[in-house]
Amino acid sequence: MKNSIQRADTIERGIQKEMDHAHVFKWFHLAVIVGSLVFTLLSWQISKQQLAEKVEVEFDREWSTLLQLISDRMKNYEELLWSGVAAIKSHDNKLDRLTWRSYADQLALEKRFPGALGVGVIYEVERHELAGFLAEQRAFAPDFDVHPSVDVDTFYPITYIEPELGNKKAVGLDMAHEANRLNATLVARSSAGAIMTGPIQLVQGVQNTPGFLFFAPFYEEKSSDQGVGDLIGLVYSPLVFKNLILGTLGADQRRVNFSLSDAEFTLYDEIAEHELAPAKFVKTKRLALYGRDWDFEFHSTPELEAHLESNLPSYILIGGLVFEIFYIVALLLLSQHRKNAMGLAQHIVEEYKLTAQKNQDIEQRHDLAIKGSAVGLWDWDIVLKDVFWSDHFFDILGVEKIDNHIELTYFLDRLHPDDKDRLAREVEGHLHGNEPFNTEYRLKHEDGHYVWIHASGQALWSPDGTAIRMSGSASNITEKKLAAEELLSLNAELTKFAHLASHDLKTPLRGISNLTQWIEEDQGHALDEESIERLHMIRERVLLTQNMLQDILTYSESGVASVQTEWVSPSLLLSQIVEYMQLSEQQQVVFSNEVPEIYTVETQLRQVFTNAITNAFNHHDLEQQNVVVACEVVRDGLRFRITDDGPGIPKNYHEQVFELFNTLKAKGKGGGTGLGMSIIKRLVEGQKGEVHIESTDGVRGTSICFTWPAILKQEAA
Amino acid sequence: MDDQKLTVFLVDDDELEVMWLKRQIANTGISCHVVHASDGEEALDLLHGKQIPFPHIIFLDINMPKMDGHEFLAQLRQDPTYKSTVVFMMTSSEALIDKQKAYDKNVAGYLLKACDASSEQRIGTLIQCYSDSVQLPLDGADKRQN
Repeated sequence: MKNSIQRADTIERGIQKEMDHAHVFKWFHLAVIVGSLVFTLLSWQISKQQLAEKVEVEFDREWSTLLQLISDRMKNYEELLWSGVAAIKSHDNKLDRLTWRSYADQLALEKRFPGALGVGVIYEVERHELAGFLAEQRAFAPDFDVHPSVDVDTFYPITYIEPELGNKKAVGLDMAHEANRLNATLVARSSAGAIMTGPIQLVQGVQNTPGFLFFAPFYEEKSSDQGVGDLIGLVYSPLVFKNLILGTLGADQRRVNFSLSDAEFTLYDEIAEHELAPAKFVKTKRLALYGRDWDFEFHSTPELEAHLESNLPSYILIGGLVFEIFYIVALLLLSQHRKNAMGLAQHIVEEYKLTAQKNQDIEQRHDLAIKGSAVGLWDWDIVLKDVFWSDHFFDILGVEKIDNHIELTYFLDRLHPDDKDRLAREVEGHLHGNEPFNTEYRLKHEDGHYVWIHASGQALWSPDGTAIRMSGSASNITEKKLAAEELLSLNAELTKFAHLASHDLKTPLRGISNLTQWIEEDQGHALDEESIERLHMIRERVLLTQNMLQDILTYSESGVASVQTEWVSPSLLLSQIVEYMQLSEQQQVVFSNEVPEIYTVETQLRQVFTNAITNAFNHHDLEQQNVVVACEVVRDGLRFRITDDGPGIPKNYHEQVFELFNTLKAKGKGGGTGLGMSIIKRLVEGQKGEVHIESTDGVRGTSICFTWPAILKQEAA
Repeated sequence: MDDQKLTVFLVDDDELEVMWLKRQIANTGISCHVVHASDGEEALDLLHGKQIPFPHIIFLDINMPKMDGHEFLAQLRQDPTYKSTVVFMMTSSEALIDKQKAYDKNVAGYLLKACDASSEQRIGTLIQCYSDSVQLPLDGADKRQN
């Protein structure tokens, strides 16, 4: 027990220590938090970067595609010019205005070459040829003129331009009037390739947007080894870049915006009109094209950038942070729970210590009690087949104690062979029939003789009805037993004596009775009335004496302890007695209430009932005679009350009626022997009960009240 | 000795019982021999010595000097001649053990001696009934002589 308290102290100290060191976060918790935070941020960054790279690749593809498309488109326009050159060549360089118109119509410019405002022919005219040229042209177009008039040696007037509608202002316009146009013209002339002008304000004034001209020169036929011949003219086309773009590259499907400038002059700009926020991706690219350097600036569109705004990195970040929060919360909760658990553990340990302390007290008291008394304790664990014997057992048997726990066989080996079956039956009866276990048996002393043990006990049953344990007390009753045996043999002798005496007395009594009878029968006629009356009186007394002998016999036998105990139903017993008594019609016995069965000596209770009821009827003074038997359950058995409606007994005789041979009626009148109540008293007291008379002076009726200690049968639950 | 007469053998140490039994028989008006022995030994002697007629009914007391009723009965039943002779126990003992012993040795009845008159009536009636219903064994004496 002391050990348990010490152990509890140790545990308590451990718990205290744990609680003192129980911080919310340990270093490894913090490490996990920081580590996972870093990991989260890292993966967020990486995924963002990967996304950006992916979008950039897409952006690059987009702008290079766009650039390719523009470049292709320009090639297309070059083809347009060269096909015009080819048409002129096919007419031997002499293609008139109408033929050109018909040719241009075939081209379906608007449909196939959007952005091209028209396609026309420029002739190179020397100052000295101007008049002839004008005359020639005016034959077809009377208002043809070269304008504006500039002082140059060579003119480059736009001679034809189809469709003429919308290009009216261009007809007759001299390329030499403006440096940009003239420059491109001259470069084309000398390079013999297609050349563009820089950005110019077209005379057509389309949408007030900048445009440019595209030239392709054609020359006189020469033999191939002499290089190019003299320039005849140029096929040209005025182009508006914006239209060109709109017509060719659907801006709606593009995911890049761009601006295009030529020598810092903006040709086209959709960035300004589309973009509110600065683009995430920007690329500038210079493209050398037909004598010009076009500077492109590509900007990613919001549609493209939308790919950047994929939620994945955010999910990673948020997921990571949420995990972080969960982890911290979990740690806090765990820590709280741990604290609670520790508190609970501490509480339990305290409780345990209290209980242990209490148990220690109890055990000490228990030990003292056992040592101080001559009672041994036993505890039989039926399941584990283990038997505990207190020290006293070993003292009784004169054996040196080795262990308080013994084998069941150790006990059985020491048990007297004659007691084995009986004890086994009694134990069975207790375990399976819940009969009280209160018995005696003999155990072999170390010296070889047997000691008488008185044992009582109680089993413990599991809910399914199996007996799991049985324990109780035992004491050495050898001396008592020997004394009792002696007493028993003395009693038996006395009973035998009483029996023989009563028997031997009966025979002479019978003789007396017979002799008086015979005297009366044979000599009756010779006797006077008084003598005959005296003979009757002799016979009456003989009868009384015989009854007294019978009662003495009963009385002497009632002192002998009977072992014949069994379950008895008082009400059933009473009804048997009443039936046996063969009462008259005026006599009635009522049992007022039902009581549980009791475990007792049936013959003794029967005798008490019989005597009490007989007594009530014997002393009754009326025709109608009633007896009521009432019963109640008291602490250790039953209490009976047998009440008659007879004359009642004066108070001063209440004690006297129980004395031997004491009867309240005159001898010979009613046949009372004066032993009936004495027998009741002796039997009740033999049962450790108490008996008394209740009767009020001046009121009819007498009650014989007695308690009958016995074990009551519990109603099945 | 008339063989037609009923012979009753009483084994009892109390001579008053002889008187009593004779009076009862006399009351019934049946003529019969009443033979008496005071204890078991005497009774056996009388039977074996053939000094008395063959008894039709034996009334037997238990508590007697020298040899008690049980001992006598045991010896009687060992003798083939008396193996099935009618024996009534007539005693003042109510002890169960006495009744059991008696019936074990095949007695015809167990009569309690009492002070009241009813038992007397019973004995008279019993002998009368026996006499009326049983053809007396005429050859009883011859059988014994063989």
